[in-house]
Amino acid sequence: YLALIGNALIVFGPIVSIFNFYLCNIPQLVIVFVAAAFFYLLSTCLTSAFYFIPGIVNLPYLLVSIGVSIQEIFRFALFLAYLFTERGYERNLKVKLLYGKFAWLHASVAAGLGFATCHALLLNGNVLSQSYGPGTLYLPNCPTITYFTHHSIMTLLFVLLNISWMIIGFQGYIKKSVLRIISLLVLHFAASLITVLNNKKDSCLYVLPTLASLVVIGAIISTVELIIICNKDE
Amino acid sequence: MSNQEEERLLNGGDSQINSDLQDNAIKEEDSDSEAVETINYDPTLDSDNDESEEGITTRYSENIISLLKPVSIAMIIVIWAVHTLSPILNSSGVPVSSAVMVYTESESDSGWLKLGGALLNALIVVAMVCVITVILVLLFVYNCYKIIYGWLITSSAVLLFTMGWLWLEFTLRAYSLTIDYFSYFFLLYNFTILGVVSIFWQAPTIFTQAYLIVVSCMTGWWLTRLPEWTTWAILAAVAIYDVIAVLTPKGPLKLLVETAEKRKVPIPGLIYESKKFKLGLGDFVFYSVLVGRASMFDSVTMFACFVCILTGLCLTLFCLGIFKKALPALPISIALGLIFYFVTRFGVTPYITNNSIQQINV
Repeated sequence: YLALIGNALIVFGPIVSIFNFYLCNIPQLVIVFVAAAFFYLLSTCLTSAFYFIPGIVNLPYLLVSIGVSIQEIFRFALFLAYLFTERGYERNLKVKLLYGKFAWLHASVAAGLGFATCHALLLNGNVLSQSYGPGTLYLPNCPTITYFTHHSIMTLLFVLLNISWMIIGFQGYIKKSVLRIISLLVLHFAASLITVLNNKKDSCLYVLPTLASLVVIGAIISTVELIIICNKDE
Repeated sequence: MSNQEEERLLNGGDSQINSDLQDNAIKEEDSDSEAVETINYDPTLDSDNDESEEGITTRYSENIISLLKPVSIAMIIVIWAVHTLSPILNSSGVPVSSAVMVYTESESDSGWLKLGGALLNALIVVAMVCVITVILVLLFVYNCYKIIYGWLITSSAVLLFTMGWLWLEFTLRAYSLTIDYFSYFFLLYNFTILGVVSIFWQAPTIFTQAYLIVVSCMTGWWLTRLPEWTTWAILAAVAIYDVIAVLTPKGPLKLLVETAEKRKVPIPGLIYESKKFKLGLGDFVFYSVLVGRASMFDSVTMFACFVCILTGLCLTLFCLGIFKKALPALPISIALGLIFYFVTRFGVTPYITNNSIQQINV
């Protein structure tokens, strides 16, 4: 029980906290959250179609690249859906979906959390359910922590990454900033491709620290975006 | 924004539709319950004085979330029940069969036989629902309220007592808890009476809502015991029936709604009311059945169906604001749920399993 609870808290603790203390205060964000989760599900379904191409399983870098590309396309599609909805509200109902100069920031955090939650549920849900019961599993590439804890930590890092990627993405799409979009793609490709090395010997020593560094970079860029928004005149 | 524009925004329709949900899955005695399978928006419940533009979108979003929460709670409870109570029920040797099913699935049957049999079972269930809805409409039209409410109260009491018995017993067994017989029946009796009073008379809103969720969870859990192919066929058939019954001019539910509108009386039935929206209990039941059945296969399919149902419900509620009339709540959610169940089962699960083994994150 304890291992299951601990691993679940590692992954879902931040998600539940952000949802409960931030999203729930602005009801519109909960709907954005649900929509984002659905878009992530769509992207995963489409990516899984490529999985069945004969031989592609032996080309993990290609499969991961395809997955990242599809996910980025759906991130942009989510942004367009949000923009379309917001403009529909303004045109037909003469109201905005969200108010204030942080409206886009709120929406991007909610969308990022939606992506992150669906990612965590799909990728970690199965693994978590297997962690319950007697016994555990260690892998040679990371013999100091259990497979389930390693998987949970990696999922946690991707949860945080997804939130920062969505902030960067939304700001990039709104401002049509090539620099932001390129940095988003670089971060996402780097994070996902580094996980392919997880089955190598002693991968624990460089994969998790690299992911943590990318989380810090993503957080710094997101903070810079927040500062830019704060300094912007309304 | 002018008052007229605000009213246009907030007035999503003032009609409600009932349909009957008959629970005949396994038990020998019939247990009928009424359920509304549509969603309705009641602007008269709006007492918020905040007329700012920001207040309007916030209020509408709050109303949507006020339905998402109970639906999510109901689905989570059924998932718990499927994984905790069903194994105990299965081990007790109660056969999975139904008085209304003409075809009983068997492992050795071919795919085509299972499909044909499941469609036949689904047709019979929908026909039964249709007949009971027509009877309800006739009773309502001819002002037979005593018969309607007597029927509703009896079926709800029987459901709460029998299912409550099962749930309490299996929960005690699942967690190795003990209780004496006197306390057991004292709890069960009070649970049933409180439920009937809360739903049909007066009680704090939280009690009414909680009991409506409990009723839908119990019914949904019971229906997850149906054979797999039959379950999917029934879900699809009931979603199609919901569209026909609510949207066609002579649909029984549409007639019920119009009659209620003319008389300016509420439609009798098990309806979950939250702020401005009213959702029929039948919707809770079938959402829970879909997610419960998906959870029997894998957690990936379960989460996918969970997300799809919430998305479908949000889409339905948006359509409600656009079309401003009662809409069937099942079709979009059930369609998305069914599609994504099969896509995740046969496509996404192998891909995700491979990624989990390789420890790859995308």
